Amino acid sequence: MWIEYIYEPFSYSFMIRSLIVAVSVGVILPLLGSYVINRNLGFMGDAMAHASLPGLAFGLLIGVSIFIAAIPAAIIIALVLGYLINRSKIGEDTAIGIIFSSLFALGFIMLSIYDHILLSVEDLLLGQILAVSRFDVWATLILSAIIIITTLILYKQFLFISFDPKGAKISGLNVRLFDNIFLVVLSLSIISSIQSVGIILVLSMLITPAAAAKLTTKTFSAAMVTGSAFGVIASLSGLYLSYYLDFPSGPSMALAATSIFIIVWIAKRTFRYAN
Amino acid sequence: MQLGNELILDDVSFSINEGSLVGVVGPNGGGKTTLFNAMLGLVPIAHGSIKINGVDPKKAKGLIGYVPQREEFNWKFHVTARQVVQMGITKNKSFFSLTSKQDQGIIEKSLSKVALLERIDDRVEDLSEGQRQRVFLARTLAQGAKILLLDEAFSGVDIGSQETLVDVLRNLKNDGKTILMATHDLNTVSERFDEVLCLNRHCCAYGEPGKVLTREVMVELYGSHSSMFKDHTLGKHGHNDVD
Repeated sequence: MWIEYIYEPFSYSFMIRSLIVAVSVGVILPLLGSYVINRNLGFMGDAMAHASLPGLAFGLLIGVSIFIAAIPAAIIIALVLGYLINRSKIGEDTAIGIIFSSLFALGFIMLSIYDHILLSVEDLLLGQILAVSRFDVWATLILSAIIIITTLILYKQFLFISFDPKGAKISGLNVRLFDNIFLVVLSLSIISSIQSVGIILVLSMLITPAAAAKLTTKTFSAAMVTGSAFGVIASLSGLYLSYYLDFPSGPSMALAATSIFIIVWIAKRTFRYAN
Repeated sequence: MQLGNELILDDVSFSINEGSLVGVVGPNGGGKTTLFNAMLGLVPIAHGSIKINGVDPKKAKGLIGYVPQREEFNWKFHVTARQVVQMGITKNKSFFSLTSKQDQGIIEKSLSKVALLERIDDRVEDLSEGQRQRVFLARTLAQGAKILLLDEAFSGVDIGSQETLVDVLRNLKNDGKTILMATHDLNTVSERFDEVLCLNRHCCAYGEPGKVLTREVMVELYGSHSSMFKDHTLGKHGHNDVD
């Protein structure tokens, strides 16, 4: 029976761990992605993922989980990028581009110097969800809880500063503080997803499900919820493709997310013409 | 007010009584938005002082409500009228997306004051330009502002909707609100506003429209194009030689 193909992978404990991580990533990335696509922060998200490589390499070097080393580094990078957005005189894209490419290069140099590190660079870049450890699962769950709770608690502030930053400032809101909190939360979501989606394709899960959701919903809050639902479908699809076809998980999830976007786009156009 | 070494607004002295409806007129770049930004405490002033109800603008936050120009919003966010008005009562410690019954009451009352309660759950982008202006006006009411600044609120608004907006503003003025609106529509200033503030990098005049909108003031404001506004009536298109 075909249904066995759905259940069968989860007879293995590593697949249960992968499932938990896949669902977490599927929820949190599009949740923040809804803000990212509307605030034109896609390049910033991509930069955060790439700039985390030195932190990941340092963690591997000293033999700790990539979460422990990369989280402080990612928070610092988020705050520096946030500062550059507000203060850069050379243009924010230029400033972000310089930081992102130089830190990514530094990460590769570190990995090449410390060649005793047992790591597949391909896994780091493209993700390997089937290799998550018990510690990774707990770290992902804790980070996801922090991200979801913060996003819910500060929903009104995040929406206000995104829709009307000047109005928010006038009304007395601490726009800079909430902006920085948002960037830190975004960086945490990216770090918690790197193991499953990989550095290069984090952007895909951040943006594509949220963009598909925007096509199908009328309000921003509905887009956040729908985006997360699409994200979970995409990450679970990626998980199955990785298990059955031995594809790298990042590209599998990215292509699943793109498929969802295309289906939604065609359905919307068809529905519009039908009416 | 200064931007770098350039003085962009100078010699502006006026005092507005509570409950006044004031039109702020002047050419593009004349300093209308800059004046509003200074009153909102967003730009520092090089010399002189601004007092809002006797206090510094930065200490008067909450007292002043602002309805910005359309392009200042990020319209990629699909928000409802309810959400926009809710922003007026969003503070640093307003946690979670749920709204208390008290806040719901404030939102509904504010929208009914601008005659848009029935559109409360509609997306703001689906409303007409005039209705949008009223939603943002409702946001200032929810905020509890006593002084309302509207930056070119008639821009892109048809005549009928402008009249509806003016009716709403008059009602708010009768409730004791002090209202300043930047506008380019000189032909209706006399009918719509109690007073007019004329700005062109400095204060050219301030007072009742009928008294202060003289030919000299118009020339000071708009230079050689001034007659277009003052004398633009049927059969008379701003040229002195046409009768």
